[in-house]
Amino acid sequence: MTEERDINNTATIDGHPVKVRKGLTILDAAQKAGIYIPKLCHLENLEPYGGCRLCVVEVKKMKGFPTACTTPIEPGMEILTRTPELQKLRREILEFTLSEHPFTCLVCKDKQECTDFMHSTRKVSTITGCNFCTSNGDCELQDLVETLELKDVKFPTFYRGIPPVKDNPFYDLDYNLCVLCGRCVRICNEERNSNVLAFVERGNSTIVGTAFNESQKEAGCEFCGACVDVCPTGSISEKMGKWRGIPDRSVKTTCVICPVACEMNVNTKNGQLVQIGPRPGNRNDPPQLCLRGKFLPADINQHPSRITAPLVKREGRWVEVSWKEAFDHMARILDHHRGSQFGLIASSHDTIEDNYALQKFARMVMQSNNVDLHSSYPRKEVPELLHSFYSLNPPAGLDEIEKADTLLVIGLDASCSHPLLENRIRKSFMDGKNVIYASAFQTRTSTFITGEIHYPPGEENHFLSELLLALTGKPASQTVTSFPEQVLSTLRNTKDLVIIAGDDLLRHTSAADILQILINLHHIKCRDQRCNILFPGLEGGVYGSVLSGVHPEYLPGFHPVNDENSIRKWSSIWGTRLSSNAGWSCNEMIPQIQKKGLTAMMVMGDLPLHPGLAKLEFLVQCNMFKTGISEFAEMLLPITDFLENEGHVLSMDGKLKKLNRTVSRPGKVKTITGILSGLAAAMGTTGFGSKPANLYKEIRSEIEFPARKVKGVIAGIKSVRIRQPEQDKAYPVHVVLLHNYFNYRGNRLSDLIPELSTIAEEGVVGLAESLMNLLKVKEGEQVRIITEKGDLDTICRSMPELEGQTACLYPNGNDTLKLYGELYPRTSTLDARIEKV
Amino acid sequence: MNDFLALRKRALEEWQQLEHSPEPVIYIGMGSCGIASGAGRIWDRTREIIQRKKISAKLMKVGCIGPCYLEPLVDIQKPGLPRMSFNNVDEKRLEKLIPDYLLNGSAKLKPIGHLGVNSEILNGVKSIWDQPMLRKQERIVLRNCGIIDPESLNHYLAREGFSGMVKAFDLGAEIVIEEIKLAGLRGRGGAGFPTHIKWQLCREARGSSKYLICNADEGDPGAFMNRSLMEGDPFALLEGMIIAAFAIGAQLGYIYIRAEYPLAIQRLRNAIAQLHKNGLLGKDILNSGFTFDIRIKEGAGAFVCGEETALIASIEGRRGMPRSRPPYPASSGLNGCPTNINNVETLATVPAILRDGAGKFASIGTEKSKGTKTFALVGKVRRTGLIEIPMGTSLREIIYDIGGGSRKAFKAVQTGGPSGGCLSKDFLDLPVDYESLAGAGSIMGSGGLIVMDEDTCMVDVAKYFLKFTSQESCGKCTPCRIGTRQMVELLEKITGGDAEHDDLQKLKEIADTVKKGSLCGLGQTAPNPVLTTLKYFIDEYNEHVEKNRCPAAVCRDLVEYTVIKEKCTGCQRCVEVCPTGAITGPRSEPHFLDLEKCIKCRACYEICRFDAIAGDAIIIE
Repeated sequence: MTEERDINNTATIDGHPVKVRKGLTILDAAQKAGIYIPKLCHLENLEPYGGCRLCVVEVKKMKGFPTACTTPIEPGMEILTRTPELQKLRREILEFTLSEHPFTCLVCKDKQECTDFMHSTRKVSTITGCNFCTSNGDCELQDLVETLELKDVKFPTFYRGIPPVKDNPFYDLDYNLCVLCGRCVRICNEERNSNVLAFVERGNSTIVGTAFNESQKEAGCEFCGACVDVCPTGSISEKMGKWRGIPDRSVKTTCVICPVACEMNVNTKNGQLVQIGPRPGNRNDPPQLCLRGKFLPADINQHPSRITAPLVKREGRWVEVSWKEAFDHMARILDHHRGSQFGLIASSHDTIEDNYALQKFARMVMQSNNVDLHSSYPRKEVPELLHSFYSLNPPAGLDEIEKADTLLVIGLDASCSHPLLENRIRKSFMDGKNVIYASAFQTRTSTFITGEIHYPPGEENHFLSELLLALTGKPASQTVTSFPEQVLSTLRNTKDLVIIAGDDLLRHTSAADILQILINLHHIKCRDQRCNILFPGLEGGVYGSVLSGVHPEYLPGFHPVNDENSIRKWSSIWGTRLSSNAGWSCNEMIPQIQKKGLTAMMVMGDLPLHPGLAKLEFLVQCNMFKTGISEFAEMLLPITDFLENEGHVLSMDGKLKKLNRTVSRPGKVKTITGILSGLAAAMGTTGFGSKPANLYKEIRSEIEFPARKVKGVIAGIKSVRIRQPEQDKAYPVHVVLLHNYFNYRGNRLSDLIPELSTIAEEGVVGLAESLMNLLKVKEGEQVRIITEKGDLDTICRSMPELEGQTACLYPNGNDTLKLYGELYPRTSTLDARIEKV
Repeated sequence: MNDFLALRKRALEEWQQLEHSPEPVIYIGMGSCGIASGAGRIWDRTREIIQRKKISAKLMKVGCIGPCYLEPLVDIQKPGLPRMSFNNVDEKRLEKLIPDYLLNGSAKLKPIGHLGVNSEILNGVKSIWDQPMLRKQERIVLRNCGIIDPESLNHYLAREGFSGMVKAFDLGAEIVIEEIKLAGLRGRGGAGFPTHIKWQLCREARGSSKYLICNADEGDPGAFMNRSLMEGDPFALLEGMIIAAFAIGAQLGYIYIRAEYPLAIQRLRNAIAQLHKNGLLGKDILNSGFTFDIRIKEGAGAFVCGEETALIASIEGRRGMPRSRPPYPASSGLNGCPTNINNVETLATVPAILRDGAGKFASIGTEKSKGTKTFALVGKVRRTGLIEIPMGTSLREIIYDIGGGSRKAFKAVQTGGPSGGCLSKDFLDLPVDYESLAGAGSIMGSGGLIVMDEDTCMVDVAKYFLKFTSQESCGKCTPCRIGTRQMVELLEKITGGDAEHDDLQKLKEIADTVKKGSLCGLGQTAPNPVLTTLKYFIDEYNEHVEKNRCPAAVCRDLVEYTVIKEKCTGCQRCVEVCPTGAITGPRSEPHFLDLEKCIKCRACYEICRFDAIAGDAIIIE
């Protein structure tokens, strides 16, 4: 007997038989059967709500008018969705809604003419005419008025008169347009677990707001923009795109700003960016993004100070030139700097094609291995170990995190650095899974965990070795961390563990030891249970970029430059003889500039303003903006941002994700690969390849993306000897470097987008209360952080979550340069002395 | 079980000692109604007086016996005599009463009744139960209220407390539910859903843990049945909860009670503590193997939290917003577990059913509505207070025989609070049961009964209730949130004299939409005051709309005050109360009312009406 014929398994909707399954609502079943039921508050990925009452239906033998979205369908139900009584009820309910929502744009008889001829672009909260509500044309109320054939609103109208809220850089709130569908509140709480939005007041004054009427920021808004994406009216609207009209095209691409590499939908009109969000008319299941993916790309893309033509400095002034002039000029000069005098600094925010092409240019054309990222792995053993581990045990993906019964998160404040990874962690917690959080201090993640371990900052290595001992039943005699028994038993008994190891571990001075301990831990757990490790990394695709060859000591695919076979292989691929001398890392290049060992440099994006750069004979900056280091540059070449680019990135979980070109390129802006192929041609190198597709083929023919899993092989277990921590008396304070800054290709975004400073804490040091008392400083006063390499004056604030001699620095652009004396920080914690200024 | 017998024995001894106390006992009614009329001060004064006069007497707090209009009530029991009830005792009367009655043998103040054997007449004093307000009552739920010290477990035990529970443990859960079924008990919260079905569903529902919730979020304006019950006999509720929990298999119970009921909360907390101490609550109650505990959750005063799903959300720490059912709490309630929610009165009735048998309970009431029901009888009625009557008693008996009728001509009675309706005098012979009231367009509700006389404007009443529901709507669903406000606005228009011809039609349409379209009971019943007044008092609406006239002289914008010269005696009382100095005139001469200054506060009208000489001097046209 087939299911269809089973009478016990069917119900009818408007006479059509539909299949009944457990968990299906009437609305689900109707949608499956292609029967339209009007609705406003319902969203597929949220819990049914039943607030708008538009999806009311009649069910025989059921009292009243149940809502289709909340009522489970049951066998034998006879459901009617379009009786005259229902339509009348719906129309009246919609009239109620419209009596509190400006509706002239909805039911005016001159609507058509108005839309065509009477645009008013006044940005006022009161709807003065028919236009412009920011959602005009993509408003679900408009659709409903159409389908329900509502002609007029006969009830008295009411204007709430609530002042619009514009207290944050990204979105505006006009609750006069709100229909209280509750989607924003629900997505904020159910999907994002941010718990910022709530209903406040009651009765007719009910409105969406925050607890105690705090500003969005004070209430803990993470500015993920999920509420903006689901709002069916113009109540929550994006500042950047709200007046740009209805998009005519939507293209999917991948966000490159953090290693999670989320899919995003980019809406454009006439090739110009409107906003990043769900396709018009389809607010169901929008791709979930975060501040960096939802709002910042538009700010970058549409930034007024973007450079759109190649610039050459002549007599101290920037002069626009044609690309041909630019290429010829560069080629002429670079010709004199071939070999190890040339250095190239790439960005992990670029595609693997771009980065492959960059290192290929440096190695093949410029004969130099001096190619590195702004912010790579500080120690060269790390990528090597990581790669060998990943080749055998691919990183845990988001789906594996979802399946795991226990998560162990170490040294990571994902709510700042990887919001969508954090989202998964929160969901695991909400689903009742174990989430163990090991960190130096409490973060927002701490509210979503079942077990907590604290270790002194900078002592991740000790903590991990002690954890390993404790788990194997051999507790160390003297420990720096204490482990709650519940945490240990959870970790012992887990059947499916995912370890998420933050960048603090990979940036540690003993990063190689730490990695080895994790590998050992993995080895032990893998004997009889599932265990996966994920190293999310920071700042775009560092792992993918290094894998593409952007590393002074590795050719693409982690082939060491000092290995003759590798050199021979890549020399033959590129048709040249490659240098087998290890190159200099980004940090090593600076002293070489002083020594005149390095004379010319190409930089993708921006770098901290190191005075050493002034000594360069020739600096080419490829960027979207003029920045601090442009002062030292002779050429400034305009490059695309990632929305204008195409190619691939490697996400943190080892998946290749595709970037599509979504918006048209302004002016003479070129992609990195476009610039390189022009330049290579100008320098007399043929066959460099300019099309990303060809480059991709070239990469894929030689490198495995992602690394292939070798079944049954487990990375070797090795014993690790840990030094006992010693305290440097001269520098007693541990300063932890936080990662909640906003950065794209080394460009500090809070410089470019000043409003960001209202939500991002930068240039502030958080101090433990005991430390503040010791220093006799108060919140907001200036302190000086002194390290072996330099010092920094900054404002302090109290951080109750810290203990003892601990501080947290929210670094601001050149801060790390001042404290480390180097381009990028080699460690995640610093030993310092703090004084009152 | 031996423990229980021992407890019981001790309690009986204590009760006997109290009844045959060698020294006088003074009982003071200290329910919220008593306290509001000054019982707190009476208590302090009594203590002071007996100290001063060196009278050896025992003082005791009791709950409310019902007739609020007699508060403060002071009962005095002399050795050898039953308790004598003295009514409306103020400090002045008290000063005389205590020495007179206790030292001199008899008081000038005549007791209103005694609490001895019903048929006895002692020194010309009849039993208090012979009072007109109490005579027609049948007290099952309220049997202990005003009689025992609500803070004493022993008092409750002495009056057969917890014997229902013990019997339930003997019978077993299935038979307990069967008993409830036989008794025909229906939900006293208003909807009248058969209790045994609720219990059975929850019992059968699968879940690792189950909850029992007592809905004590009594929010109807003018209703205080549950409040008085919890203040006067908290143990009855707790016993009922234990029995219910035993029947459905719940391990934890919540009492969701409004924070505005501090005295009830305090007495419940005290009662729970005493039960814990005596092994009547908690682990393995009386060695029955049944474990159950009760927690109190204070509500923040949202009316909608009386709706079961909103109540659950509130206990869970979320905003008190209802959700659509199904799933019903019986299958997925608190924390997603099977949950049974009953009203205070329902649960407090349960011990009596178990103790006295289902048959006795079922013998009271009508065919479909069994037992008794408590009502808060308030409004324009002579004798206000808390009453308990057999189901099926007619409205006339309640209002006239028990309540003593209204002073002015009776106009309407409102049942069921904001969700109920207003019934006209045509319905006075309607028996009070679930079906009859629903048939008339009103509801039983939790037990508010507001009597209105000719001074009440029915449009104004509808507006009052709609304002209430509009403000108390949770804001979740459109029809309730916006529709109630739309109705309030139309009613404002009507009472303001600005109504247009089709406004009544519009009002009805909106009311229909809100009734049909709303998510929860609050919205679905919110239009009832409008719909019933439109149905039974349409003339009054028409007067407002067509003639801009308010027959009850309530709607300020439609009323103008004048002094009728022929009737005014110039007593000056109205001059004294007028807050704006609008009335002037020398004594003994007809007064003058300056319409420019008059703010239509109605103060002169009220005071003049009460003046026997002036009669209808000031009328409203």
